[in-house]
Amino acid sequence: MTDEAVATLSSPAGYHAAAGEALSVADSFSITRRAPTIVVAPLGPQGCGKTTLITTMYDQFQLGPFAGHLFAGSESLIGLENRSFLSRTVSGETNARTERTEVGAGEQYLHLRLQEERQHERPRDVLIADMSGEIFEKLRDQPALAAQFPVIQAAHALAVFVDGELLASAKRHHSVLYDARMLLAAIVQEAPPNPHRIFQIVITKWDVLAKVGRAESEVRNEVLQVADGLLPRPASQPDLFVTAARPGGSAAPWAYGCAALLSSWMKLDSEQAAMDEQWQATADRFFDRFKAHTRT
Amino acid sequence: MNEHRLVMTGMPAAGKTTFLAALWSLGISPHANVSYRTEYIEGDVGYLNKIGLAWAECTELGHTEFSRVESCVLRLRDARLGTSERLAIPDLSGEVFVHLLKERAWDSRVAGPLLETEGLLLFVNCEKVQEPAWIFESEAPADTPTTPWSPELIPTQTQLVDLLQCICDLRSHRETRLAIMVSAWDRAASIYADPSLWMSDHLPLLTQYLVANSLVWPNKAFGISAQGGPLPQDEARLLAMSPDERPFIVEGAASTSSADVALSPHDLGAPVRWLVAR
Repeated sequence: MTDEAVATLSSPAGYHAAAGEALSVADSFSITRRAPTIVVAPLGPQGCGKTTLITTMYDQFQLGPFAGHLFAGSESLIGLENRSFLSRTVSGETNARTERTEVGAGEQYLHLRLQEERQHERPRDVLIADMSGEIFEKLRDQPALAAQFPVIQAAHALAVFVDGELLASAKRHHSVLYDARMLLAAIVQEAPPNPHRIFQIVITKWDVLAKVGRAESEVRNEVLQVADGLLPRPASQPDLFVTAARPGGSAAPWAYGCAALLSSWMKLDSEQAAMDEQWQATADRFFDRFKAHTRT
Repeated sequence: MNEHRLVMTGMPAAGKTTFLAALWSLGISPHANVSYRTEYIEGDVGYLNKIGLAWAECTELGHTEFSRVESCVLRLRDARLGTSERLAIPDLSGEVFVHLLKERAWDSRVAGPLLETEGLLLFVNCEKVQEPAWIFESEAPADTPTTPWSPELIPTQTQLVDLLQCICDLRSHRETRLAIMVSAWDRAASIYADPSLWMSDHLPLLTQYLVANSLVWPNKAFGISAQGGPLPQDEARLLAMSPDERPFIVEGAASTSSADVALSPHDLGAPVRWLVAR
């Protein structure tokens, strides 16, 4: 075929596709405006496994339905893939790891759209904050800084992460519990009161604790004491989850506890968030304000 | 005459051009038992003849050049209904979809057809699927050099979900029929009777996405072998056969109730018929 015969089709120029990276607060507004959205805030110091746990949940969908849900899409698909890369053989790494979330990245969100496997409901959007642990170290020390973070104000679930590897260390054991209590205290104090918000504690890297012979029930009871006297009524105790996102050896299966945690977030939508229009309006107002602020 | 516009999408070497060559060649053959026969030769069909000749000789078709968009028009008669159909189906290089994945911008020559199309053919070569694999302690590779992250390294199923999400945004979430074309089906046919089952096993993320978004993407899977066997290994066997009888197609489940549409096991027009059916 001659070059002359090669057609030039109608060419609307300037079509850009969404970046697919992690979303800023302003980016996430397009999702929260479209439909009631579950907002989750994993909170914890550097290296406690927040990003690893989120990407492990995503990785499970690469294999099939997970936690009773189908993967229905993501506006941060490339961001999720990027974070999962160092755990994949294609990276050439010898040990699975997760790149640390940089403090300069500020408040960003990873997005999942999930649908119940039974398909009785429309797909639901979940925004999971992915923030550097350094931010939470500052929040622990200066609780008033919480006002600067929309996610602390608007999240339906605030989940304090406790690093199981540090809990297994004789030297760090008590300090990691102290750290978790102080962070939870700061968050409970600064987050606007809402009866439907839930507080969670997530123990990560359970496999390390299992290897040193700790019983799960014993660890649960010990860690739950972190919240004694802190939570507003009616919730006197946070929900506690024991997880091992990428366990080494045979102490726990891959993604141990992740399905239960994701299910707890998805239940929020039907049982709490969707029922509470006032709460949704509060969250919308906050995001509206933030959006206006970022435009000026 | 009914006018139809379709777009073939998929990453490089997914089988788009080979399918088009077979569709065209079967249409002009007097004996092929297919849904559509060529009724009239419109315009310059030099490109279609070039790929059709290569297909007839069992020559593997090279990748479509990134810089070229071959505008192909087929004037067809529907073998069942006797209606005249004009089908515009540009042959786009798979590289334009790699460009989208990496640069997050549509090649301007692709956005137009995608906005106007009434259906998509999404090609995936069942022999060239990059499945996700994770590092586990006992399986750590010894001295492999590390590789920097690149969008091209993400699993095939994620690339295809990303592509469909981008098209969905471009088309403002309009309902669009989608034929999933599992090419090189001769390699999978001995294991899988239904291409939908192959998809569930090898592209579970894409399968979930399509189930959850079946209102936007009414879809049906087809297993196709446009050459009829692997090349060059099967060249002698295939050359000994009538070209009309080399290709074969297997229909999979559809997201909406749908009867089988192929007139014969060789009817590569079946996906087109399903896409344009109303």
